[in-house]
Amino acid sequence: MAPALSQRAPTITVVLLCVLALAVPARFHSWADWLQDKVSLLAAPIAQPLVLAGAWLRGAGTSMTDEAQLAYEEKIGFLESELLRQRQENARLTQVIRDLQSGLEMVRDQPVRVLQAGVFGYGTEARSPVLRVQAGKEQGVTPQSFAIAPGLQVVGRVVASAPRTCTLKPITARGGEALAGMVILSQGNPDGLRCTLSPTGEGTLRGPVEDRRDPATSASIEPVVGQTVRLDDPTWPKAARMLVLGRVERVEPSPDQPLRKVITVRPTVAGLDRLSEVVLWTPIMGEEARP
Amino acid sequence: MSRLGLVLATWVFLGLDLGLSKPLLELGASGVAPSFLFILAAFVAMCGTGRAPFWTALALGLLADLMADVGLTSPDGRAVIIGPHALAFLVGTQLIIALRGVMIRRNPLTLGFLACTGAAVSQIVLVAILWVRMIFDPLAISPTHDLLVGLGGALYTGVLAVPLALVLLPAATFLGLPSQQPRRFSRHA
Repeated sequence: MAPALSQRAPTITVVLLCVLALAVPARFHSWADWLQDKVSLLAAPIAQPLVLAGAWLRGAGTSMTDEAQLAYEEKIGFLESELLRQRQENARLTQVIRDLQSGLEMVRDQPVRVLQAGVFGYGTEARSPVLRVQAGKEQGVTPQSFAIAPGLQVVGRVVASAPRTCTLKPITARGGEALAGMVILSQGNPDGLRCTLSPTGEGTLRGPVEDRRDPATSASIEPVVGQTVRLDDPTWPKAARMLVLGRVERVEPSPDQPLRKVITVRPTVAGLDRLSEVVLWTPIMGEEARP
Repeated sequence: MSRLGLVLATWVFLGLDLGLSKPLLELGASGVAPSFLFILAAFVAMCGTGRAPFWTALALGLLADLMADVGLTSPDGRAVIIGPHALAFLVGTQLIIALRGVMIRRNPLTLGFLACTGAAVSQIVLVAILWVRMIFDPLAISPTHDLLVGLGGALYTGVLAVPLALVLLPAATFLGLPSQQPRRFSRHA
């Protein structure tokens, strides 16, 4: 009996694989996420040194040698984002006061937990680039977590988390979700041009910008190459608002509506899908947020 | 065949795939990158005997499935699908087994050629499987684009296999495979 089974094992295996590959929908493969996590952990000791070596050989985007300057630039970026957030918060509170007067409930602000983590692997498919990060549920990562890179550049959201690892999907990944953003027209002014950006699959985001006119002159207010675009998407945690999506690289007329503009935005950090480390921000919810 | 040797080699090549293939060796932002796992599968298929190439290709293909997230247009965003890479690796290595009889296995260029052709067939099978899955799964893929990227990756894999053959051929005995090194005073060439 045993020899017959061993002779048929390859055939049985191939049939089983064909069924899994061709007939079982993706939602029934979720058990494989557990296996992926375990394999990722096993591969991390050898993968991460190679990632760091690769980043060093590539001369990766932001130089980490001048740490003081980098910290200074980050501080400036943080203060700028905080300023815009506070001004936006002021505008929101004004509206809340008006809403309270008509009896609506107030929404509380949202503190975050910050965690720096290394990237130990990348999705091996060009069709779906993801980053595998050495931080998971045990370190407080939740489905609400998102990642940023130096300069408060938004990297992406956590799409899967295991006890000690998590998977990030970069905002520039092909097939990714559309993002609501804002083209900042002048420094410190949170009232910019709203836009909806989708990933192009070539490391950039592209999408239409709202058509707005100057009330004084009726001239069209248009985006300019080099302006900063910030995240202003209600589907993302509040803590992510006004973080950087990138800079306007190109402005073109919309093919469907020539009077409207379409912008191409390039992230300020090159190669979001090849970073060697990220900073994870996790909004702190409910009881945990109380002082 | 030495299972310990194969496990160690798999661990190293998996690390190379995760840590070097896309981050360092990818051609720009094209997505064209080599597959270290397939090079190992091709080597075992070229030199292995019995069922070793089959089970090795299966194992390496399953690892490739686990490491390759497939993008979805649904809110989930991504999924791990077991089977496509495993089947693709099996078909690719079967081609290598069919061709190895007419090749000079000691020559590093042989591994490059076999890895390239095997990987090309493997990518065609992979894209075909994912294309069929699009009937019932919301996959975020473009079959034509992915096929071109895959074929470019196969060529890249073949090119990379040549220098790796210089390491793998002498290490064949470590993996428990028949030595591919020429022996002095050997009766056979």
